[in-house]
Amino acid sequence: MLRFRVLGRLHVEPEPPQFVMLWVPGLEAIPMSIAGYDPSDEVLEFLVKPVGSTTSKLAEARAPEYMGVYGPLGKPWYPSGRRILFLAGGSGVAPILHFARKRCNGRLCHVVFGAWRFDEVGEIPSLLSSLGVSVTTACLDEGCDIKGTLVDAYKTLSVEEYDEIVVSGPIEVLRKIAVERKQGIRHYYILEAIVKCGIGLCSSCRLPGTSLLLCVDGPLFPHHLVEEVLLEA
Amino acid sequence: MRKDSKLSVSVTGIELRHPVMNASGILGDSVEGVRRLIGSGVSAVVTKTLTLEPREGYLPPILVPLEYGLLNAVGLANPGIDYVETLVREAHSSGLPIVVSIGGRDPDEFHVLAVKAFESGADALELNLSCPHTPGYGVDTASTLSTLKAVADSVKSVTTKPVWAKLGYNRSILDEAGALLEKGIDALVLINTIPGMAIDVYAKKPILTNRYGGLSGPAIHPVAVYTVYTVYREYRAHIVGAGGALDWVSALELILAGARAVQVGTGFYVKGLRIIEEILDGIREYMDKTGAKSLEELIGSAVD
Ligand SMILES: Cc1cc2nc3c(=O)[nH]c(=O)nc-3n(C[C@H](O)[C@H](O)[C@H](O)COP(=O)(O)OP(=O)(O)OC[C@H]3O[C@@H](n4cnc5c(N)ncnc54)[C@H](O)[C@@H]3O)c2cc1C
Ligand SMILES: Cc1cc2nc3c(=O)[nH]c(=O)nc-3n(C[C@H](O)[C@H](O)[C@H](O)COP(=O)(O)O)c2cc1C
Ligand code: FES
Repeated sequence: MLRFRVLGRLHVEPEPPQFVMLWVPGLEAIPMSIAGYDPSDEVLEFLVKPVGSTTSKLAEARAPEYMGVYGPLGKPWYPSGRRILFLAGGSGVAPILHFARKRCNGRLCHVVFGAWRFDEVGEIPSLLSSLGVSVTTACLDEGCDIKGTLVDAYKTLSVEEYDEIVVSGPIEVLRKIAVERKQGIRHYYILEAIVKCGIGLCSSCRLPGTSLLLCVDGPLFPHHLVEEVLLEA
Repeated sequence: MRKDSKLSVSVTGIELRHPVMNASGILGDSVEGVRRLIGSGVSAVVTKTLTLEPREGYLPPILVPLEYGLLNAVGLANPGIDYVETLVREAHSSGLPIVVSIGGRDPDEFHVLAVKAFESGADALELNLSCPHTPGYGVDTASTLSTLKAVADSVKSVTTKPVWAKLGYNRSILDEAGALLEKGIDALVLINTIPGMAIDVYAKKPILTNRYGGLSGPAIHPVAVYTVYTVYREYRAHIVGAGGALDWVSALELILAGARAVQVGTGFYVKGLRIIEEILDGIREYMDKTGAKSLEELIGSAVD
């Protein structure tokens, strides 16, 4: 988890699952979900999974180091139901942390957090619990509440207990859940794409086969809008 | 459509039902983007500048949003000229004319691009002679009057259809415009972005990956009005205005300065797709109030 103090001002308060373009001077600007925001001291939180040069540089960052940020980008989403299930894999849990803080007061929220190995689970469950959200962990080795993948967890949970389900994480997980989807509950997915301009001008983030631009229409989409994106290919 | 008849205008023989279209580089690079443009109500579709091969463009940051405009260095990311047919088909399926913007590194490349674009049914070409931030293209191609003329020759030789040439503001603009018109270029598109840079004071580095980029939006609007006015006054040529058209007043200024049509780029980012209808509503109301009978009588009416 990285925390940055905003120099200058964010013009609007970021809402989940919005993201920013985080610029590592000398390297790239990459999209990063806002994992938390404290308006009292303007601190933005990110959860970074090192996968390439820019994310690795970020993961190694130690204060004082300056990063550029612009945003918040993307559309906020406001749940309409009272009982919400979040299925989050890996760094896909970042926007869920922000949701937990901003949207779970007065709602029944439950998060299933999936990782490959137990030692990758880290501080996430305790962070979520401290925000008043109940957590189940799933991993492939011993130590988590469920031994198996997020999809295995989804199949065994009584998801009928929820009004809405939000899935966030690797695309394979999203696809599998879209296939296994249980009828009668509203499903939403937080997707990723190559974001370049972040404001709907360059069409780099267009979801294949649709006219949806992830950076302005997403990153969260209801099932019916992205069914073909998830079920094909 | 009848209510638009006062707004109809012909640019280089292309009949437009009103004078407002998108600027190159805004949405015109995919079927879905073209659909969005059509939905916005543009009177013609202008494609992203297409090059011989697809280009990935620069890594982000490619764009710096500023209070008074945008600074971009996209790096001419585009799907390549072979995609042109798909774009043309999409625009034509809605009955809209399509202007294909092409970017070559030399007169021969422009020649090949022009042939492919017209074979695919383009209604007009827009030669990008003015992208300020992609080495080898744009301002680099057009660095001397003789190369400008050679590009015009190589393209005009393949077609009788209209060819527009897009220039940026620079001190030789009158010479450049004159040279192109002399070679039979049918219209000038004025202006492209102008070079700019933004530095992050904490990181102490230019923000754009390319370090510098092209400035657009309200910041360049007076420059665009001035350029259109100056070129129109000298040559009375067909001009398409671009630069900071964000509402009906700024669009109309370009028309009064001599533009027969106006392109909107940054405005789409600031206002979204509704900007086209907003500009048209404003111009219609203005014409009603001032008793103007046709758009034609407004074109260049501020130029003495
Ligand atoms: C809306 C959104 C929110 C995200 N939130 C988070 C988050 O909270 N935490 C986190 O760790 N990661 C997040 N990501 C993913 C993160 O942006 C990529 O991992 C990062 O761009 C990789 O950059 P790199 O230089 O480290 O790796 P690279 O070596 O450049 O690439 C590694 C992988 O990342 C993808 N990628 C590269 N550039 C981009 C780009 N500009 N946009 C999207 N994907 C790219 C590549 O396709 C490749 O699969 C998010 C992505 C999106 C679209
Ligand atoms: C993101 C972006 C991409 C652009 N891409 C192109 C392009 O490919 N070809 C071109 O001729 N002009 C391009 N331009 C310039 C615009 O077409 C236009 O000339 C300029 O932005 C001024 O108009 P505006 O102030 O309405 O944006 C681009 C501008 C922007 C902001
Ligand atoms: S990143 Fe440019 S349109 Fe979404």
